[in-house]
Formats: sequence, structure tokens, C-alpha cells
Amino acid sequence: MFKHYLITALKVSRRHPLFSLINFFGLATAIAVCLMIFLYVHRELTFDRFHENAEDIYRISLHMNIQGEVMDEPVSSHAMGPDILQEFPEVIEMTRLSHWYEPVTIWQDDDRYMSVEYGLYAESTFFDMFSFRLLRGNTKTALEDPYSLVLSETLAHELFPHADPMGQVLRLGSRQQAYRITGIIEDCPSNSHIRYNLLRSYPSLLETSSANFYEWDANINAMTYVKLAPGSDVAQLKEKTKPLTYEKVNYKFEGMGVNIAIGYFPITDIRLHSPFGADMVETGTISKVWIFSAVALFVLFIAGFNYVNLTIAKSGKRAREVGLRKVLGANKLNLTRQFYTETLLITGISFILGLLLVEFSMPLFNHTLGTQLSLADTPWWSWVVILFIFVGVFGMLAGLYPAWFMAAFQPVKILKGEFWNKPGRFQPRNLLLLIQFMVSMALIVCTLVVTLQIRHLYNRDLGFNSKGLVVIETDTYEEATLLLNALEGYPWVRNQAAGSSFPGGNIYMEGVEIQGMEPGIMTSRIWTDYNYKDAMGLQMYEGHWFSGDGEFEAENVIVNQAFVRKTGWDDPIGKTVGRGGYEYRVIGVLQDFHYQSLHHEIEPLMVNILSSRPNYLERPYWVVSDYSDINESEVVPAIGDVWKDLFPNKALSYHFLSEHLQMQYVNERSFGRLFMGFTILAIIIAMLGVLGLSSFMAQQKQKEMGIRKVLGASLISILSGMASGFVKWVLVAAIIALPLAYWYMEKWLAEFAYAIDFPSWTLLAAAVAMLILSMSIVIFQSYRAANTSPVESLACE
Amino acid sequence: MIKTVELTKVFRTEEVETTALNKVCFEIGEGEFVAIMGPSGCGKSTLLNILGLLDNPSGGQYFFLDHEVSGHSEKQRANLRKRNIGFVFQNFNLIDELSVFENVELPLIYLGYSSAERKQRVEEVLEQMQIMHRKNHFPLQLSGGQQQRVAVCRAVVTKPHIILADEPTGNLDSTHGDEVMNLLETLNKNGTTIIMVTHSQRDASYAQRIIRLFDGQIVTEDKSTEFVLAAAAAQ
Repeated sequence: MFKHYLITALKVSRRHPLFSLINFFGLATAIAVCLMIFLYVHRELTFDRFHENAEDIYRISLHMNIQGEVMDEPVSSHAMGPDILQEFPEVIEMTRLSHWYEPVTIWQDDDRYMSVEYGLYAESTFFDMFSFRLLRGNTKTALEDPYSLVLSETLAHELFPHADPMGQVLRLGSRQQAYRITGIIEDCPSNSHIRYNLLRSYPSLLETSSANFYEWDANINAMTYVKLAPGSDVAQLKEKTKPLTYEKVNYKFEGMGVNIAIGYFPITDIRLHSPFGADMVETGTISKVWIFSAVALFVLFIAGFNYVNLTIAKSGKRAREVGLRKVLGANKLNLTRQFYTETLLITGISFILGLLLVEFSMPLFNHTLGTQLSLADTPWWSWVVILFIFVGVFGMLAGLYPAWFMAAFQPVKILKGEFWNKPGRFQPRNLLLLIQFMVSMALIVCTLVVTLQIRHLYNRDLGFNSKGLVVIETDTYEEATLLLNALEGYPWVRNQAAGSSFPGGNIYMEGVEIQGMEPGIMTSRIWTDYNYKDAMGLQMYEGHWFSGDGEFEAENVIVNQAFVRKTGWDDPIGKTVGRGGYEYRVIGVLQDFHYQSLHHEIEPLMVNILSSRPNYLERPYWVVSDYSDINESEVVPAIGDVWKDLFPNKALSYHFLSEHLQMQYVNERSFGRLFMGFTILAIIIAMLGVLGLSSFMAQQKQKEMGIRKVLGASLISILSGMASGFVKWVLVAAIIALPLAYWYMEKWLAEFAYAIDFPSWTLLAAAVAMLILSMSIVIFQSYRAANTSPVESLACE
Repeated sequence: MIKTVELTKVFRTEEVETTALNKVCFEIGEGEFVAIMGPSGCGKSTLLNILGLLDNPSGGQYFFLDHEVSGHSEKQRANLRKRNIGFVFQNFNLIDELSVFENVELPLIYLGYSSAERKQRVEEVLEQMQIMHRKNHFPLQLSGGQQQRVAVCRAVVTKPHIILADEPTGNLDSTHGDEVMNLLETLNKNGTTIIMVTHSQRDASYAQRIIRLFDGQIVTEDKSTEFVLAAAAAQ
């Protein structure tokens, strides 16, 4: 019997090519979209869960409260980890990482070098804490001695394609410090918040840095991880840490309204629930996971509704068959099984097509999202779940209703030709059509708003000039000065300056004392030279900029408007700002500019003259060069030549400021692109449904059209009659879906510090677009039927 | 074999009530060939649907193989129907997607025959009806006469006690019509009971008895002219 069902299903598919094509295309696309989103969601939800004891690993974080202003930082001082390990028995392991955000230069010989991102310092307990596999070397000793180096598999192969890397010596960084390779580690899994290409032993950091590693309030840039004994109470541990924190650091701030609290943040929550502004890799948000999951469901629903709608629409053509089968002895169960087999067959084939589609689209998907997802990475059990969901649940839901619908046909009525629902009676396919229109319109609104918001992020006036600027990294003030002098003679250098940071770059935060305010405020701080304002295109709000680079400017400071707002100064010029025993006099106020990404509000900023930058802050110094009359592609070789003349043994590290700034929104951009891609697919699938349905309606109404034509109706009146049936549903869908879309997108926009006002026209645009799209399809489909000679259309009945 | 007692069928809509059959009583014995005749709208097809267990009467009794079936559920009727009744329709009602073989095979599938049994029975009946050479063709590749022959094959493949034919020659020219009527006659001679609805006097002449309906009631019940002549000739 099953064989018969299968053969019939295949023959039916062949007999109705348009319907079959729409079904296969729609379902396969929906399945592909769902699979890709599943891979993405699976990756996000399993971030950092591959470590054997992931549930017990926590990262120490700082919760700073400065007179009610709260800051959460994912870093700790280097001194905290060992003290906490020693003090609390439930902390059974501890390891520290130190990550310098600049790339590391690896010297292969005097002329050959490469820059590598994610070069960490890691303690020897790294392999005890985490489940990253060391492919070669000893996990206990690989990171034990100073100047030991562990390379990722890919990097090792790149550096030593034909030789054994173990035991080889490489020189790293501007000081060309020699490191011995003591291990090869597997490439970093893409679903890890810790990223590495190379690991330097932690003792190397202690040997090369003059920073203070032994005080709780010094050198706060370590990532400290602790493993707790299973079943430990984290809240209790946090409570227990308070006295230790007081003893180590908080006693210093007593009576100043400043408090530091130690937090233990689960590593499995870092990816999606991070409250921290920055992390080693960009963190995601759980809302994005929900949004994509919802899109996947929407797409699947739309395709499922198409299937149900088209099958029911087609049932008219098959009614005679159903009636006959009943006359010949088929019962409801036989027919339900038959139609369900058809659904399973179509879903099964679509599933295979969907897999192929995923395989083809994966590179584009990965490129857009910056991931390395692959179907092969999916664990076996999820295939069982996926198959069950698609072929089982989805197949059943989409197949059962049409099967039940058709199996319920009365043979006598069918044989008399009375199988259609009576006019006026509610028809489920209208509900499905309505939901399709609703989902499509809501998606159009969401896509438009997301796109406009992202464009707003790109195009917002940042308060400085980001175009035509190249940023070059140097190690010392002297190097920066040398480079500035060397570049000065070139005609394409319009302006240039040096500073301790640049917009979008890393920036120091410090607490400063303000006259009449206890305990002062937290502010970002940069040191720049005299030219910085003009090179960056910054504007003064009041007062004046530095008048030169000389030592006489060392006591002056320039602040931004946010700083003034924070302090509540009415007349900021001449006021003093205290820091580390020095007092600086405010000589000017800069107009606010976005020195951080638009995810953040503009915070207070103070600017000191670069020549007064304290030595302990070390490197880097950034030279910002404003070029003109030269192409971007020509700038780098030109600067490279100058660089090589000046520093023949140093690697040139540079980037274009505009590109760097765009990188800040790479997540939003990929989100926007994917969202748009999936929306377009969803709309295509929905419109295919309208195509199928209107084609069926045109056939069903062919006789009616013939009669109308005989009675003198014009082509336009016939077409408008056909279209009006759909217009009604588009309008109802608009009334329901658009307020929902508005409500949701208002909520989404509220997450941005700088959001657009909700563009109301998008609501109208979505409704009009849906109306035009569906009407065009309906009219196109009906035109042929309406144009058929009435003699033919009446004869065919 | 078949007996109706005051069989009534009333169709009701919100505004109109139409009596399609009004207290119809008759009996049909095993091996009979009966034609039902009458003008359009007289209730012929309604009667055939009830006799074929496709529909239930609104009143009266219907005895099928000595069992009262007028109150049977759809499931019970379907069960009786598939084992005992074969149908031949005016418009053949073959399934276009299935081949000749598959169309004829269909009732056997629903009766749960094995694949080997089905093959044997179908080929047997196709041979018998001389359409074996077309077994892999699809209905639309056949002439009207051939299609009706396939429909007859499908009706007899389960060896039913009774065949109900609704205007079996209505869509055929006279040559093909005669061919089909000869087939039905042969089946009847071999013992199958046949009840046929027809407008055609010529087709009715193949029957042993004619039931004439008018406005839902039997107006006459007589032997067919040809049958009377044949009987007389035989004497």
C-alpha cells in the first residue's frame, strides 16, 4: 500500500509542476534558512561550553561604584587571582591571561616578519582550566618557563611549512624578544570567547614589564579565571570576597563613596549575557538569538502555510480522485495516509534540497557573519532532532490538515461536482494567507528600520573628520616625532598629529578630583600634540586649544562638553582638575565628539599635551596622518617607504580610520544583512504562495469569468474583481501586523544610545509594497484566464 | 438481493425542500439486469447512489444482501461497498495520474490483496476485456470506448455481486456504446447482477426489466422490449 502511495505522490508532483516547484522551492529554502539559523543559534548557545568543567569556570570581574556611577569591567588586577585562590577553599584552580589588543610582530629573520592578532600571555595552569587541546608539547610545562611560546596549529604550519616548529626560536614584538616554541595548540574553536593565535608564557610578561603585578588596584588588565569546586555557592563566595576586597583595596577609598566589588561571572554566559562593554571578541546578545530564531520560525511557517494552502487549493483538482477512491473502497484512514505520504515525500525531498542549498550558501553566510559554521560540525543528536522537527512535526502539521480536509470529501457531492466550500463560509486558507501577509509586512518594516538604523550609525556626524585619515602605530614618543618629521615634507600629507589614542581606539579611564566635588569623576583621558585638533577636525566649544607642544602646556587641560556637564560647571575655563598629585587648569572645552562607538553615550574626556604623558603608560603612540591628492592604495606603500627608511627592523602597523570605525558596527552590519536576506527569502516564499493560490483561483473562476464576459464585463472589471479578494486580506493583515511591528521596533531602537526616530513611513511602505506585489501577481495570473475566449472557458467546465 | 421499502430521499436547503425519491418500493433478484429510466431530475441518480451505498435514504428501508442498511454509517457502507459493488460511470472516472493497470488495481489495494494476487487478478481481467495491450497507458491516451472498458475492468476486478452503471454509454458513440453494453451483458450472463441508469431505450433493451421513475416515484416496472422479444423467440 505504501508503495502505491509513494508512486501516486510522485505522479501527482509531476502532474502539477507549478505547485510542485513552489512547494519544493519554498520548503527547501525555508529548511535551508532554518538550518543555517539553527547552526548560528547552536553556535551562540554553545559558546564556551566545550570546556570539560565549563559550568564551574568563572571569570573574575570588577564592579566599581563611584558615587552611584556603576562600571562593570571584565578584567581584574594581576594580584587578585592568587589571593583569591589562596583564601577560599572552594576556588580550586586559577589561571590568568593577559591580552594586549595590538597585533604581535613575529620576526622570522631580519627582513621577514608578520603581524599576528590575539597573542596572549597565559599561565601554565591554562591547560588545567580549559579544554583547549595541546597537540604537541607538555601541558604542565609548555607555558612554565619565561619566553616559552605555544603556537596555534595554523600559525605553526604557516611559519614552518617544511620544518618541525618544536624547539625553534622566534623573535617577537618591537624588542625582538626571543621565544622558544614549546607547544602546538589546536586552532581556537570559533565558539570560544578566548581567542588565541599564540600563547606566551606568563613569566615572560613578568620579566618584560615594569608594571605593578602585586597590588589590587594596579595594572587592572588581567583576565583571571577560577574553577570552583562542584556545587559551590557563587553568591556566598562573592559575599566572602568582600572583606578581602576591603582589606586589599577598599580601605583606601573609605569615606569617598567609592567601592570595588569582585564578581564571578560564568564563562558560559559571557557570549550572550555579558554586561561588559568590551571583551576579547565581540559579544553577542540573546535578543539577536531570539530574533533569528523567530525569523526561522516565520520562514518555516510561511513555507508551511504555502504548502497547506496550495494543497487545499489543488484539492479541487483532486476531488474527483478522492471521491473515486472512496467509491472504490478507500476509507478516511487510507486517504489520510496517502496524502500524508505525499507530504512526507515532498518534505523529505525538500529537506535534501535544503541541505544542498545550505552547503552552497554556507560560504556567503559565514562571510557575512564572520563565522566558520559548517554542517559537519553539527552533533549527531541534533540531526535526529532536526529530522524529527522537519519531517515529523512539520510534515505532520503541514500534511495533516490537507489530508484531513480532502479525506472528508463526500463522494456523492464530489461526483456531483459540489465539493467547494460554500461562498461566505470561513475558509482556513484565508487565515493562512492572512498570517503570511502579516509576517511579510512585519518583516518588511523590521528590515527597513534595521537598515535605516545601521545607516544612521554609519552616517552620523561623529564630531570629527574620519575620512582620509591613516593611523600608524609607534612605540615611543620619539619614534612618533621622527615619523611626523619625515612625513611632513610629502605634498600629500595635508595635516598630521600624534596622540595616545584615536577615536575608536583604546583609551585610558581615570578618576580625577574636581574642585568642590567629592570624590571626583571618572573620565577618559588622552594625550595629544598641538596638531591633533586640526588633523582630526575637532571643534572648540569655548576657550582655546593648546598653543604649542612645549612643556608650558603640561599644566593645561582641555575637556569635552560631557565633562563639563558631569561636573556641573557654569564657567569651566580656569577651573582645575586634579590627578595623581598634579593640578591641571582647564583652558578650553571641545565640542562633544564620538571617541567611542555609538553604542556608548559620549562620556567625559580630558586631553593633555602629549609631551607630558607619563612614562609608565608606555606605548603605543599613534600618528594620525590626513592625506589628500593620493589614493588609499598609494598611501600605504608611500608611508611604508618612509617607515622602512626610519625603522628598517620594525614592522609597520597601520589602519585607515574610517575602516576601523566601520569595524565597530560589524555585528550590526552582518545582522542587518542577514536579516534583510532572510526577509527577502521569506517574502519570495510568501509571494510564491500568492502566485500558486491566484493561479488556482483563476482556474476555479474561469467559468465565472466566461459568463461575466458573455454578459459584457470588461477585462479591467474582471481583473479588479479577482484582485479585490486579496486586497481585503492585505488590509486586514496591515491592521494587525503593523502596530505589532511598530511596538517591537520601538523597543529595539531603545537599545541604542543614538537611535533614529521610528520612521512611520515604513509602515505605509510595507503595506503598499505588499499590496503592489500581491496585486501584480494576482493580476498577472488572472490576465491569462480572463483573456481566454468565453467559449473555451465555458466549454471546459 | 436488493429490496427497498418506501425508500425516500429528501434534500433540504434553508428555503427549499425537494423530495427526490418518494416511497419507492422494488426488489431485484440475484443475476438480474435491471435498467432504471426516466427524465432528468426524476431521481435516477439519487436512487443509484443509495443502492450503491454512497448515500443514505431519508426514510424507508433498504435491504442489501438481506441486511437492512439504511442506517449504516459511512464506514459500514464503505466496507460493504468495496466488497460487493462495482461502479461504472458515464464519464469513466479513471484517475488520470494512474496507468490502466494501476487504475484497475486500485480496489484490490483497498481490499488488502497482496501485490502478487493483485497482479494476477488485474491481468486476468484485462485479458478478459481485451485491453491487456494498453495496461501501461494512461487514461488520456485511450479512446472513450477503451476508457470505459478499463472502468468496467475496475468494476469487475473484485468480483462484486452487483455492478451499478450510471449512463455507461452516455459519453460514447454508438459503436463503442454497443461494445460496452455487450460487455455488461456478458457479465450478467456469467451471473453478475447489473443495475443500470440510462436515458437510452437501446441500452435499456439489454436489461431484463425496466424501472421507470417520474418525480421520485416508480411509474411502471416492466420487462424490456428486447427481452420480451428474445424470450418469445426462445419459446
